[in-house]
Amino acid sequence: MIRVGHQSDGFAFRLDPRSYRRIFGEGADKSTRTTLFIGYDTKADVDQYNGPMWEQIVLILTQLPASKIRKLGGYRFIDSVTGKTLYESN
Amino acid sequence: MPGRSELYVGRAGQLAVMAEFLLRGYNVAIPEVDVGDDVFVVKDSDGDLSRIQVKTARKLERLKKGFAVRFTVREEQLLAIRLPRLHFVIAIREQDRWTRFVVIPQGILSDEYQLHQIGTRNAMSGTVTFRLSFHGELGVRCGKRDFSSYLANWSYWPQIEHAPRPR
Repeated sequence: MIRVGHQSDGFAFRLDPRSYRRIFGEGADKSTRTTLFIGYDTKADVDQYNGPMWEQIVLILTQLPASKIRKLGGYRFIDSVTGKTLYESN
Repeated sequence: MPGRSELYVGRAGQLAVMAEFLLRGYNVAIPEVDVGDDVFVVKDSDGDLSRIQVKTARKLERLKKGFAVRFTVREEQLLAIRLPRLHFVIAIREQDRWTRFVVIPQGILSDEYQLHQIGTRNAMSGTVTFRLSFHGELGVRCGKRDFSSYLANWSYWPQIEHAPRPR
C-alpha cells in the first residue's frame, strides 16, 4: 500500500509503514524509507496517472521487480489523509 | 482555546526554537497566517526549506526517575505526506529555562503512531496526544518506543559557518 499526498505542484508518495516493514523487515536500514515526489509545472490531478506510471512508482519505492510485487498481491494507492483508494492493481 | 498564558509560553517556545536555527546558521520566518506550520527554516545559499511545528511543554509530570510531558498534534497533520517535510520540535521548559528539545520528523512520528500504537487518538477533536518520558540526561521514551535519538537531533540542519562580512 502506498500513501499519496496531494500538493499544488504534484504528488508525494510513501510506502505505508506496514508495507514497508513487510518488504524491508523490522530492522531495515532507514535509508530505504523514501518519499518520492513527482512535480508538475501546471496544476496536477491524480487522473493524469495511468497504469504504467503507478507501477513505476511502486518499483522505485519497494525496490522490488514487478513479478515479486504481483506475488505479494499487487498494490494499492490511498490518500494519506482520507484513506480513500485512488488506484488499485488487479 | 488555549489561555492567554499558554499563548505567551507557546510563542516563547517558538522563538527559542527559532534561536536554535539562527545559531546553526539558518534563516527563519514565521508564516503570516498560522495554519499548521510555526516556523519556516531556510538555508540561504540554496533556498532549501524546512517546515517546523513547535510544541511547548512546561507542565511536567514527575516520575520516580525523571519526568514526562504530553503534546498534541492534529491527526491530519500527522498523516499527511507533504514536501518539504515537516518536523516537530518539542521544547521542554524546566526551572525557568529551556532544557531539552526533541526533534522528530513528521514521517517518523507518523510511522511510530501507525505501527506501534503510540499516542492517544481523540476522534472528537481529530487530534493525537503523545507522552514523552525523560530518564536521566539522555533517555527519552514515547510509550514503549525509544526516542532518545531524537533528543537535540538537529542533524538535518548541520552547522553553517558563514564567512565574515568584508570590511
